[in-house]
Amino acid sequence: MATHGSSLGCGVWVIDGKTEVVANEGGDRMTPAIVAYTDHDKVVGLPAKQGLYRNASNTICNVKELIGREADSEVVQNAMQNSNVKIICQGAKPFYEVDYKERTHKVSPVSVAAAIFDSLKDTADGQQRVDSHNAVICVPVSFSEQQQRDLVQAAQQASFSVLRVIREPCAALMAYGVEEECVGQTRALVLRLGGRSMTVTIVRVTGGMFHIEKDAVFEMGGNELDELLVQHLAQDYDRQWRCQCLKNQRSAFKLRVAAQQTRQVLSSMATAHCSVESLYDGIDLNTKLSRTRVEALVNPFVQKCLKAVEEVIGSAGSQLTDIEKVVVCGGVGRSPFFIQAVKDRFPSAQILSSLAGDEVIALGAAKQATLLTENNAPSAVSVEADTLPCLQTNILLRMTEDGQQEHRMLFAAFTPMPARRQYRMLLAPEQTDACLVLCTATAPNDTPEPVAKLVLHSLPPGSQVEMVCHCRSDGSLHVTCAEPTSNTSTGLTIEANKLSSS
Amino acid sequence: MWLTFEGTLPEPSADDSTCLLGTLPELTSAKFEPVGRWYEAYCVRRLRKHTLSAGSLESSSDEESEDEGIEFDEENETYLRTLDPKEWKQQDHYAVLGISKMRCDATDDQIKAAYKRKVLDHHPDKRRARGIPVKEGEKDYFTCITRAYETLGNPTKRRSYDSVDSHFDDSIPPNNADSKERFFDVFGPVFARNARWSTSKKKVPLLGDENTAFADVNHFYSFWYDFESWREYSYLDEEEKEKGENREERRWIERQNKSDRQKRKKEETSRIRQLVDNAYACDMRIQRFKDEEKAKKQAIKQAKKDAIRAKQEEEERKRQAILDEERAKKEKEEAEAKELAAAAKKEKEALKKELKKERKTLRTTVKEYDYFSSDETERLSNMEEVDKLAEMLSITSLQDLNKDLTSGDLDRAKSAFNKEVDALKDRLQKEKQAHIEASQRSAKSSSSEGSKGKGTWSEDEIQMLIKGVNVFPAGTISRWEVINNFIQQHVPSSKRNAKEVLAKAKDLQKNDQFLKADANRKAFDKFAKDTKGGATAKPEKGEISERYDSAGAVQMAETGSNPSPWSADEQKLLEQALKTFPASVKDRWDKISDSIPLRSKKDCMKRYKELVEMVRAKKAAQTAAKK
Repeated sequence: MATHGSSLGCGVWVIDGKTEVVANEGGDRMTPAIVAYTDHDKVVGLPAKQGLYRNASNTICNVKELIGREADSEVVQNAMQNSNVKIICQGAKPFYEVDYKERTHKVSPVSVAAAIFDSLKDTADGQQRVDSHNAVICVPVSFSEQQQRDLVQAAQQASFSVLRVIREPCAALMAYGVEEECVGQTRALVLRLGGRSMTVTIVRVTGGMFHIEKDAVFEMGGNELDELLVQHLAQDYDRQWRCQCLKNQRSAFKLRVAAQQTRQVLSSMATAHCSVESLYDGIDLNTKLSRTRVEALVNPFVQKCLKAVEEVIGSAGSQLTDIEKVVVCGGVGRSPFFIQAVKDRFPSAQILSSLAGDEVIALGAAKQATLLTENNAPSAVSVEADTLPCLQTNILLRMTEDGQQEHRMLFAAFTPMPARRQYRMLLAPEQTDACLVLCTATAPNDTPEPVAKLVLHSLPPGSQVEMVCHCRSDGSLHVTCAEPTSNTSTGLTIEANKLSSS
Repeated sequence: MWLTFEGTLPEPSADDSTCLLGTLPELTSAKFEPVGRWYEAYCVRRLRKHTLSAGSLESSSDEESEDEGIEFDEENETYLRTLDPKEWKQQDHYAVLGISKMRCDATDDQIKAAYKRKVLDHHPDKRRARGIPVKEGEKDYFTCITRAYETLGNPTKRRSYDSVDSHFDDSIPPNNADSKERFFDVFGPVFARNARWSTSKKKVPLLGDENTAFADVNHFYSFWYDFESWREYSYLDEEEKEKGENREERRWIERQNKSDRQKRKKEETSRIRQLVDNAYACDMRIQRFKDEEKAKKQAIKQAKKDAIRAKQEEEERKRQAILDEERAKKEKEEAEAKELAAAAKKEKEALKKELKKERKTLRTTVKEYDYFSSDETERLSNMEEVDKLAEMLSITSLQDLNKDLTSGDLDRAKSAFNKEVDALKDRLQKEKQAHIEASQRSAKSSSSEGSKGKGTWSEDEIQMLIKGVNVFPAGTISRWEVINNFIQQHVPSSKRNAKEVLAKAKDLQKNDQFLKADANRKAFDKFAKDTKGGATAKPEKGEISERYDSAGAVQMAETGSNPSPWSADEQKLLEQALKTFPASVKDRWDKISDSIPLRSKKDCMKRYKELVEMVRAKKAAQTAAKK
């Protein structure tokens, strides 16, 4: 039950019915998704990252970008120009060319991903509490089928048995249990700010099922933030010592690592100490950074992000107020200033950010995995969204509260069919007759159109009415109302309009 | 899961009634991510084709569906009343619960439902409430219902009850003509009935029908011969183990029960066995399969045989064709050869005739000329010469000569004759000379063959070589080097190397054993010469070497015949001599032996006879081969 982003991988395991993030040998809960090939070994994770500068031409980062891509796609062509590792194309597939064990090897992205999966698995196996290797793999919404297939293949190479592939935003929502509530309709925004990219996804949750309305990926991420920090630190250093440390590649790299660490520390602390030994010319860097200072520094970036989010919402034909829930996740998304900025932007929405930002998706996957293993559900590896029949309009029940006529949602629009709901309504004291009026409405603000009326006469006072609504897969709605103590009941079936179909 | 709405329902107006006011819009469709428990629930529903909503709502619907599909017996209270609670073991538990039609096919849920129904109707409290009299405690027939459920509700107990269910037909069809005739009707249901005792998790193979494949039938019988039944007979135990008062008694009861059960189990096994045996005996498919198998084997065998025969025939035909062709070819060749031979013979005969004529002309003309001489001896010699000429000259020269002779001019004839005679003599002389030279040359070359290379081997060297070879036998380390050293030590003038020594030694060994003997003998001479201090040294070295140049000569001198085989040169000389001296020549063999050095007259005759023998044998072999 694992996920891995473009820069970090995280394995969440279901152990004894509880989801746990298993920390790796280094004690980190996250493993950098970096694979380095050296003369004698293949290293994954932090050690690979540490050797990134020394062994740049044999250290593969960001394999997620290349996996399942065609050689002539734009992404691959870009990567070929920018990557430190030599990328060659053979057939229609890109391959990394690395020196491994003193020979030149061609490594496919799949086997690199498999190595990362393998290290996640080894980490868990080290705990000796994991007995099965069932996995749910999370992929970004933008992943094509081929990319998914390759990722699954990689997981299978690492001897995971893949139960299902799910979309990252859905996993994030599941981690917060958004789907548990099955009545009504919720529109949720999943904001994932990772190391390299930002994904904005608008998900409609109806009847406990997710429908992805809009998904957008932006090329802005934590690295950009780090760059701002690096620039700041470099200026500081320059002012102090009069040396352009960024001109030296080695120094720049060191500074970037330090900046990254500082940023992570600042996620939880108010101030952070940033120090690099012998950054340039034997002079150490030693500064203190306060969160306020950094926030001021990165504010333009955050504003840029939020603007992009607004644009996405706008293009989906919604307003900011339509969003009821916002999930902030991703490695950078955990930063308090970012969460605060989101909160400010979505005052009416519920901001879900209690879980560690970079683990959220993996936790959701773990939840899904538990569900699948418990149900023994047929594992459909394909991620393809299922097309299900669903209601076109909301079905409402007319009620009065404080003398005002109101409507309660029975079935929200886009509730998948068939569905069944049971409601229980208390009658007002002294009320002996009840009239249940069912209405339909396309939008919440429309005036509901009544479609059926159920009347119960001479009920005993203080009784309650039970209503069972059963929406069949042909679109008709069967409603029965009963008062259990007096055995009075009434029912009818509302047919779906078939004429309009032709 | 009941959801509660807050707020109140509106009051209807007086004339309101339940009615439809409109229709719902048709369904649309949307894509949903395969995530979450509601999706899973939906999938499960879709898979099972349930129309109900999921999860928590199921419990209520379960009860509704339970009664479905149960064939209850008609309510028969009188039957229940007749039951004696004490004799509960003998009762038909299924009948008691009212599911006697379903019996062993009833599921646990159905049994439970049936029991619930019975309880609702027959519970003492319910009956009391209805005013029906009820017996006290255990005596009431309701106990039977409880017992029935206790038995059937517990899987183990139900199993043991099912095992001995009296409604099960244990009978086996006999092995008789009727069973054979209606095999499938008779045995089919029996196997189907007994299949339920199988412990095998896999599907029990059934009898099938006439068209069942051989493999299936085979599988059927092998399965049924190894049939393992789960039937057990604990229900029939005579006594309850718990009844025993002490441990010994309980043990005894247990033993008793166990042996009973085993006995019954054995009977059951033998019953099944008997059934399968009967079936096997009656099954006409088995016979058919056997026949088919046999026929198949026969067919395969036949096919193989046919194939072999066809192949043989084909081969035979091919061979015949080749033979025919060859024969035709041979015949043709023979005919051609015959023709050719006939033509050649004709020609030859003509030539011979001509030759004869010419010879005759020669003789007569020369005779006419009185042999160009008046002197008796000269005439005689001329007569001889004429004979020789007639024999030796070719036809053209003969014709030329005859032309000259018959010209009538005596001088001219004589001069021509003398010229021819001289020419012939000359030729013969030359030929002889050439042969002698050739033979001498060959003899010389054979003697000097060994010394080809840098130089000839001196006697001393050869002697030392032979000695060395004897002194250093095969196996000596770098033998030829050592021998070479040895030679050089004793013959300082020798400048040879190991290779040459080796070559010479081989040559000696191979070429002529006489040479070796000769060398040895010479060694002795040398020794004698050396011991005599050179006083008796003979000056005529050449004579010695001439006399003893060959071992054959020595032999000839001593015994009058040379036993050594004929060399090619000698053979050539012999042939030449045979040609030169025709059979008509006097003392032919003396002359022949004279022309061949180192061979006596006897040798030559012997050799000639051998040759004649060989030629004859060859011809005989050829004629035999031709036939």
